[in-house]
Amino acid sequence: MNEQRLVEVLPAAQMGEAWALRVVFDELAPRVQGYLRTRGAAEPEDLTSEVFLAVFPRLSTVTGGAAGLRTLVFSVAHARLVDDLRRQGRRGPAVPYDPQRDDRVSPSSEDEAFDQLAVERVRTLLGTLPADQRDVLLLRIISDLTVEQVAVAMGRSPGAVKQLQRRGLVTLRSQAREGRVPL
Amino acid sequence: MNHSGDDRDDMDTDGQQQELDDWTVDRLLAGQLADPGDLRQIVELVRLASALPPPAPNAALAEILRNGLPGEPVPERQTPRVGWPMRTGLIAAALFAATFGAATANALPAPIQAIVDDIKARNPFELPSPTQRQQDVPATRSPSPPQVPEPAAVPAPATQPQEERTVLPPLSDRSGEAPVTRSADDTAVTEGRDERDEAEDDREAGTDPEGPPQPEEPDEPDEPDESEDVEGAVEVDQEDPTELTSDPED
Repeated sequence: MNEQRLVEVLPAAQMGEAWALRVVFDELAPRVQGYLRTRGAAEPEDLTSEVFLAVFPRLSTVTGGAAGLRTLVFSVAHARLVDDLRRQGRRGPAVPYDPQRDDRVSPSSEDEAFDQLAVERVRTLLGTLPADQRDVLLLRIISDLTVEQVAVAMGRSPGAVKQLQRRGLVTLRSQAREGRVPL
Repeated sequence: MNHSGDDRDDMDTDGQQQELDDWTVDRLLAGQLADPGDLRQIVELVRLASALPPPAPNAALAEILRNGLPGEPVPERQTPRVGWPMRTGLIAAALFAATFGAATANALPAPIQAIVDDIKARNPFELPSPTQRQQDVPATRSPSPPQVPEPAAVPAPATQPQEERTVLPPLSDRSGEAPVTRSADDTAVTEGRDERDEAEDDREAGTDPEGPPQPEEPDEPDEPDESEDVEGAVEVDQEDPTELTSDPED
């Protein structure tokens, strides 16, 4: 993620310029998709597009430069993810993910297969954590948000975010030492 | 605090939580910690999983990325909408301003003018009267009656003894000077100024310094509610407006 580039194009993006919106999308969409995918969104690509469709009309309200833009984008992404997970919950229990049966991944592309394997490893690794601890860790790592920005995105207090990330890391560390999670 | 994690086998959960202080967690999640142990591998794995190529946008988003955001929607009302509280406030302000102007010019009907004069008498600030405006006299008055020839030991008059009044210098002396605020306790300045006022008044009028003040003009009939002290101050203002200045050096 190129912070300087985001800062440079943000004014033009706020004016609705297509080229600037493309830069914002190219810089932030991979991380948004990674966050949604590792958290188990049903259709990460479509959900990513929905996130940016909701973000672009609100760009004029962004203050704080690139950090403010990231906070807005991942706030929307988190809200859309919660809605998506709720919808999946109403549909019934999710089927365990099997990458071999996922037709969205091109079997001829080694890179995509590798990425998908990495996503699967992360999902397995973080699967043992409560949902709020997973959200905090993913938002901190993937989106490079600060504690305060994660608190805004999740609607929690900064103190709660600190406690959640600490508990999540302690749990992950203990499980890694015991060999219960693959590294 | 051990940041290296060498004694990890001896640490229980509480010890691990204490080890993961805010500084450690921030560096760890940012990938800046040198030897954090297994957690660094986990963080790197998460970063790797999110290092994906940009996804393909759906049709609606692709349209925006191709042509930009559509223009601002045309508002239904072109004129700015003013709510009824704002409208009422504007009307009230206009009425107040009109009434104030008419009261200053003594153009109100007699009963209303009497009420306004009563309010003016209770107001600590001096409102300009038409005669003062005609003579271009600053609309201020002295804090104490300058024409009463009483000894210095006599206390200040009972009317508004503790109030502070802002006395502005004349227009010729206002450049760069802040208004001087006086209270009734400023007996030294007030007394000194009173004595000079008396001396100058006597010199100009040619009267006995010990005698009572002789007004040059009759009292204005349109200010019946003014007290004698206030009337005396107004007369002095009309004679020599510079005497209202706060600078005792003049």
